[in-house]
Amino acid sequence: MTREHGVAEAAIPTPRVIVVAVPVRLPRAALRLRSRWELIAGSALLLVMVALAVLAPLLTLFDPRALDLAARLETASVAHTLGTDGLGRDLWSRLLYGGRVSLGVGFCAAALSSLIGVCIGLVAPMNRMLDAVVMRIMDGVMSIPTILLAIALVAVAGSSVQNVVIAVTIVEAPRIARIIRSRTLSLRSRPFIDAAIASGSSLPKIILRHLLPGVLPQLIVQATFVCGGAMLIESALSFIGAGTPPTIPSWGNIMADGKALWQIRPNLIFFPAACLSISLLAVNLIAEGLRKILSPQSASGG
Amino acid sequence: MIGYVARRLLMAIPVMFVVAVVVFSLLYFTPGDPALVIAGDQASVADVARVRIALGLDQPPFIRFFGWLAHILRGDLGVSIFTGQTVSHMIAQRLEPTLSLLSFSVVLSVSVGVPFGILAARRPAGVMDSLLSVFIIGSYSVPVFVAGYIVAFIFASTMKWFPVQGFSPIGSGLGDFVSCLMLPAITLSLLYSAIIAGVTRASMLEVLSQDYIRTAAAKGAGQVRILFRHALKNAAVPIVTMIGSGLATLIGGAVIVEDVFAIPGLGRLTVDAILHRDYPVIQGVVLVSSAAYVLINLAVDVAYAALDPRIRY
Repeated sequence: MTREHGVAEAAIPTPRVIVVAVPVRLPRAALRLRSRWELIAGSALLLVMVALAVLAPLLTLFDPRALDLAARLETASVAHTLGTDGLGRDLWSRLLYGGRVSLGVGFCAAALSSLIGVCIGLVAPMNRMLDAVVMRIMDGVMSIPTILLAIALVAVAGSSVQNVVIAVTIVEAPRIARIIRSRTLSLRSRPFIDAAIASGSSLPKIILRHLLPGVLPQLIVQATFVCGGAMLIESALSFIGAGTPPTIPSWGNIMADGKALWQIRPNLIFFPAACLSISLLAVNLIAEGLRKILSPQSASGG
Repeated sequence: MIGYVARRLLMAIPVMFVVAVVVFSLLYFTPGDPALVIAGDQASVADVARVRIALGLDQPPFIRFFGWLAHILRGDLGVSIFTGQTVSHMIAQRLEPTLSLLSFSVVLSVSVGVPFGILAARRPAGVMDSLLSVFIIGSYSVPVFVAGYIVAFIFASTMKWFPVQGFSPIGSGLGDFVSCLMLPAITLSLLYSAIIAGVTRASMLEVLSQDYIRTAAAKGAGQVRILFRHALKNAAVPIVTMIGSGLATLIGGAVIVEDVFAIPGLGRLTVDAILHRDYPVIQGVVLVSSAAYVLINLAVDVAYAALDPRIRY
């Protein structure tokens, strides 16, 4: 943390300058944002999907796992809003309850990988050796194709919702860590950090009080993208039979069940697919909207 | 130049080492005793003991890792628990469909993505630019297997232009080969071409704002000439880099797409290996794909340094 020019800069300390240099520009940036439609549309869509999942018991009378072999492959009717699948299970009910797993995995994995990623990204650059070693490890993990690594992890660890969340975290945390690290490196060379060092702040205090607020905008944006990525990985794993156990409905599992029958009943694939795509669209819109507000300098990138 | 190549090669070694460590330690994620899990429910105590010795599980992890690494470096990826064949043989057998699918998709994505990105950059906030934004956010939101079913439903089930599923090797006729691969390749290209188009647009926008472009326009060069001769050449580095690093998405997507379209490639091999809990095969596929990914990106970087004299780190 010691830098030669840091002492010189800190030798002319004016506390007011230090306060001004704190790089969180959220309130002003939020005020002058031009288009908020992505954020609004995304939040509205996501709210609907979350409400459907949370209120599932109120919106359906059927147990999503209850088999009814007499009522196999029924088309939409008053009783079965969207019809039934190959085992007579109510599709509407499975979609609602499936949302709980799919959205839940997304949120949990996003939270967990942000937590781990931000710890690595903040702490590693504090020491040159540690940084070199940790970043080589991150590079290595990231050079394994995402889906393949997640598949391999869940395949060996056994399929459970918990293992899917862990697998997604192992896959995504390095990506968050790398972004937070590069932000930390650029913050660390700012005068206000040198001033904090010169005024005798301890390393934990510098990290928590001075660096963490600075990386927070990037972290929020990345966590949102990871949430979408996690939902995607969960559904892909469940779809090929290596994710959430088949007994628990999730959108990926419902699609996997519909695979054999999709030429007769395309809806068994297309309804869960629509739920998944709408949720992903919602999360991606929110992420894109947040990125435009929180890190305007990178908003033109695509 | 030689110094750069050597440095780039040296950087790839720790990355590959970490990949090897991760793939090796996969076995430790098995709940309980891996030997017990691999031997199966019906195994006798002697069977379990044999598996344990065969996998070297009776030795300390450190020694086992370097023993395993020595085998890998000699091209020996172990033996499948389920079929008894060597993993390298099984992978080699399944390589053709996957490689065909991947190369088909790369060609398709580049030939769609790059022109799309250029057209979008030509007039920011114009029609093509807005279309590209929709295309990008759409392809990020529709997972590859969902896209697969939509494409199959439209072009195979309804229009009957292409077969719904299957693969036909290039040896038994080019027509069948192309028509079988068309839908999977389109599916796989949706996300990849969106990524390429996005980078092309961003990189072109940056180059088009430079002085020499205005000079070229002032000297009377036509728009096509400016975009393709002057701008694209200088915008190419991030585009080519993204084509390389996007391959990870493509390889992962191929596993899923092969499942949708019943293509007997590496993806099929992986899915079968998961169902049979065939750990050596899973490890082999992950290792080979990651190594291929690292080496291709290494080749891309080196090739670029050779072609573009500005790149010297």
